[in-house]
Amino acid sequence: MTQLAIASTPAFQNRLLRSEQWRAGLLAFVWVTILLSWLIRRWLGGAIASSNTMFYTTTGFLLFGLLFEGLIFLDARRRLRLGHLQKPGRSTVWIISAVVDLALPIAALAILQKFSPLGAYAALSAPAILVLPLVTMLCILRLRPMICLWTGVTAGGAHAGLTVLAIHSSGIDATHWPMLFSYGLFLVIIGIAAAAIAGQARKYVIQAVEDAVEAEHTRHELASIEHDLSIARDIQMSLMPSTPPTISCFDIAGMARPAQQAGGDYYDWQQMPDGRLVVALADVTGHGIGPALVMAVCRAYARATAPSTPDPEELLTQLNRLIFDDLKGTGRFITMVIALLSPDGRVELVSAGHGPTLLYHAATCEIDTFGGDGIPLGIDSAALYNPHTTLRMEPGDVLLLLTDGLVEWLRATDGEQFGTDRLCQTLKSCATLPAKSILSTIDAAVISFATGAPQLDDTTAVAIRRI
Amino acid sequence: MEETHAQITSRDVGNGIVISLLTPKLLEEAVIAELEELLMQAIKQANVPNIVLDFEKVDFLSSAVLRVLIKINVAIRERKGRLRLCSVKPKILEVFKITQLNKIFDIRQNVDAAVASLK
Repeated sequence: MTQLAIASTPAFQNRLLRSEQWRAGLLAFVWVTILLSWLIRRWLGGAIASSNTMFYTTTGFLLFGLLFEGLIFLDARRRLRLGHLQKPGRSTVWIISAVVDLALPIAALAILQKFSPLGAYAALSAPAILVLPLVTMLCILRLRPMICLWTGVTAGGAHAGLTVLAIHSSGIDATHWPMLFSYGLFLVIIGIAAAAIAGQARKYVIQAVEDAVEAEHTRHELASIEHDLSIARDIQMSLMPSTPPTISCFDIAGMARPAQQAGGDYYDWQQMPDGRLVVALADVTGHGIGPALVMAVCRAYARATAPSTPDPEELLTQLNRLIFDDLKGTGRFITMVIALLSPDGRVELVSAGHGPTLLYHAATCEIDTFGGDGIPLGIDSAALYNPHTTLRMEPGDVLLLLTDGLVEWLRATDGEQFGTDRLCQTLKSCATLPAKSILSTIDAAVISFATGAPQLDDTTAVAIRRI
Repeated sequence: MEETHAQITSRDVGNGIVISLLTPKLLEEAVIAELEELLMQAIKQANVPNIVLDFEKVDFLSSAVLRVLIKINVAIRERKGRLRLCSVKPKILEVFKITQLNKIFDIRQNVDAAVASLK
């Protein structure tokens, strides 16, 4: 955004108005202070304050100044409250205001010169002169360098003018003239300095407004992205099965918790025409929206291919070929385990680089671990998979499919992993529970172990219990 | 949290380059991405990239590292080079066994054995 454009934004106008409010308030305060000191000077019997002409005119000017600035202050406050930030003709008003601010001390000096009991010379070095640079300084708060400069130049010119008048009327010695005209010069220099400060201050305010505008913009964009991601998550969650499958002799439950809004793990079950149930669990490398898309594609291929592929290792081979084309070059791969359940209790298990898959035997309380029968999907289009392992599950046995996010969750205190050993312990302790409760027990155990450490990877699991 | 960076050293041993991975925990995405950059650079610089990756100093790695290994394996094979891994700690070796990636990667006991196999 250009400087000009920023300067016309409501945010900048707001700050300008606040600055003006401050300026007017400060100047009103200055007039009050000077008025008080003036009254004290009279009370103390000071020479100039005791002169009635001087006293009443000066008091009049101060009261006028106080009233003037007070009105500007109240007007600025009202406009800030109501939000009427832009005002046409503001520049003209400011110039008039600056002229009035200067006119008061200059008029006081002029009157002092004419009527001062201490003579015309006194006016040229009176305390009232110091009000001029004060007004110039306060002008900085208008954040308009040119107004500051002109204030300084006008003040200097006015003093020079008064000096010329004094020289004419009182015949001041020529050796004093350089000193007297120096006042005027310094007043101009103060004007230049004030202009420089106003310029810098204006830049700072513009920068601050720019930053604020950008931050707001970024906030908007972020909110929009978050919204999209949460939609992606909803869609992904709806791709996971919501109801447990019906197959006699098995109690099955699944759970999925992505590490971010969307994850790269999934589980699925699908009834086959011959009455068997295909249960699949897969882990795409990485997590987040990218892997989530790959996961959706993989799930679609699996669902489409499974009904016509009786052998699970053949299913993996086909899936591998399909996925390879999508993933080649990225280095991404998918580990997947498939359990084909028959209503008579038989389970055919095969894995593409996926593990550990745990089988708990109720009779012996022992746990068998299974790993890959071939490499993960998507690495080598010609990959072959070993024949499936046939498991005979007895009532009470539990087959646990899981992704490594569960096992690799690190503890906050020392960075240790939950690990397969702890998982086996936990499984042994809850294997008699229904499948859903087995999963929630394991989940609770992992979270309690982590003691607050963040979830770094997607955690997904399927528990299959032979009943 | 302390910021880790991927660090490697590489030395030419005549019939190949030995690249030692110095970061003990290769878990963060950013670190792994850095590692991929470094390895790809090293591969590009070599005429025929015969690379030995020394895992002596690595205690933990996530599956994202496997992804990097697969990518560099493809890159090395395209340039007619060979890749060996060595000194892989038992826990990490387990991961290679479960995923069966030990069938794709040639993993040797130590650096000398790996270098010798490149002859």
